[in-house]
Amino acid sequence: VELVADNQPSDSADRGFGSDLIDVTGLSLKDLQGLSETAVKRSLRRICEEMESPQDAVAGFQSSL
Amino acid sequence: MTSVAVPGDDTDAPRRAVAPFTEFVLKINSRCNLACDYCYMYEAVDRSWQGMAAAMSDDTMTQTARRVAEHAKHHRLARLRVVFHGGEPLLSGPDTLARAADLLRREVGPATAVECTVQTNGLLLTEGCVETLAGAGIRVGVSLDGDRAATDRHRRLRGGRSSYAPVVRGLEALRRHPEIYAGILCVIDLDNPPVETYETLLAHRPPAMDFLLPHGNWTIPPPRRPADASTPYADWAIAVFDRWYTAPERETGVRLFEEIIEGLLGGASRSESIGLSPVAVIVVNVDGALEQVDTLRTAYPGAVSTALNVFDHPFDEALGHREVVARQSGLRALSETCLRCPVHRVCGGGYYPHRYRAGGGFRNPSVYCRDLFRLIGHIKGRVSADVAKIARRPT
Repeated sequence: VELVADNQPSDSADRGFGSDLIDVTGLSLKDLQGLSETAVKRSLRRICEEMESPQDAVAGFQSSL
Repeated sequence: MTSVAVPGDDTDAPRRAVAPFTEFVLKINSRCNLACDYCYMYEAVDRSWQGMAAAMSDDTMTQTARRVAEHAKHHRLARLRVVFHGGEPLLSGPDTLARAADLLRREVGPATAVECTVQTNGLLLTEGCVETLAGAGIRVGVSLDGDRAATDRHRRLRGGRSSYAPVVRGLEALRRHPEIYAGILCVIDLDNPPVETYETLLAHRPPAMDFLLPHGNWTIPPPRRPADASTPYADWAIAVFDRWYTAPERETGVRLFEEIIEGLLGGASRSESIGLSPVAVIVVNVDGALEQVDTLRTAYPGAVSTALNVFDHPFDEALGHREVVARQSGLRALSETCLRCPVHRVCGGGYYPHRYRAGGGFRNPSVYCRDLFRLIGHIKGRVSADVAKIARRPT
C-alpha cells in the first residue's frame, strides 16, 4: 500500500523550530576543560577540533561501523 | 555518462561527483548463513543476487585492489576505508579476508592509509577467527538487534533456529580484542523495548553502536510507519537517546545521535543516513560490478546498477553516474518540501533509499520525515540547554 498522505510536517506551527542550528560561536576546547566526559562534551570537542582544523567531510556507508 | 532511468531528473545538476570515493564496500561473499526477514539483499524487490556467484574470485579481488590503488594515487588520498561485506563475508573465511587486506595495502602503498573493516552477523566469530582478523588489522562490526527475543524475531538461522547464542559467543571473543572491535549495528524494531535494547547491546561493551531505521519508502512503506502525524520511530529513538545522553559518563558512541548533534552544531555528518555531506561510497559486487549502496535494492530492481565493472572501468567513471552525482549534490538533490523545512541542513532529507517513490524518483522527503523532524527537535532541545549552561560557566 503506497503512502498517500505525506509523513512530513505540514505547517509552520507544527514546526516551531526557529533557527535550525545551535550557536556555538566563541566556544573553544578550553571551555570544555573540567567537564565530565559526557556525550555532549564529546560532540562539542569534535566540533571545536573541526573548527580549529577544518577538513573536507564525506559521508560513509551506514551498513557498517 | 551511464545513468538509470529515474523520473525527476535535474538537467541543471552537476555532471560529475565532486568528491572521490574514499570508502570501498567489497561484496566478498554473496551468500548468508542467516535468513533475516528484513534483509535488503535477499528479501527486497531486487532479486539479482539469485544468479550471482557465491564468492569473489581471486582475479576479481586482485583487479579490485589495482583499481582501488589507481583511484588512491590519482586523487592522492591520504586514507581510505575498505569494508568487507556480504551476504556474510566470513563465509569466505578469515584467511581470505586477511589475504585481501594484505593485497589491498600492498597495491595501494604507503602513501595512503587503508582501514579494513568486516561487517558480520557474528555467527562465525570464533576465537581463532578473531585472532586471524586481529593479526591482519581488520576491524569487526557485528549486527545484532538486542536480546534473544529481539534476535529471534528477525535474525534466525536457515531452518528457523535461534542465532543468538553463537553471536553472543562471537562478541565475547571480540571483546578480548578491543583493538579491532568496531561496534554493533542494530535495526530498530518497535516491538523491542528501546532502553532495554540499548542496555542489552551496551552489555557487550561496544565502542560504538548505530540504530538503523528499517528500510522502506513511499511506495513500500516501512513497518508500522503509517501515513499520519504519529512518530513511532522518533518515540523509540528518543527513549534511547535520553538514556544514552544522560549517562554521567559517555558509555559508547551512537552514530545516529552523534551525527545529528554534529549537524545541529554546524558540522558535517560522516554517515550517509543523515546530513548533506557528499557520499563517497562505492560498492564492488562479488562479480566485480560497480554498484551503489545495496540498500537501494529496496527501491526497485536494478536501482544499484551503474553498468560498470572493475575489469573495464576505473572508479572515476562511476563518479559520473547520475545517482552518484545526486548523492554528492547536497542541497541540490533535496525536494522543494525539504528546502522549505528548517531542519533540512541537519537531516539532509534523510537516508536516500527512504526518499523513493515509484514514478517520482528520489526527490522527496524521507518516508521517515516526521520521525526525523521530531527526533532532531528533541536532540536540539537537550543539546541547546547544555551548550547554554557551558557558555555560562566561569572559565
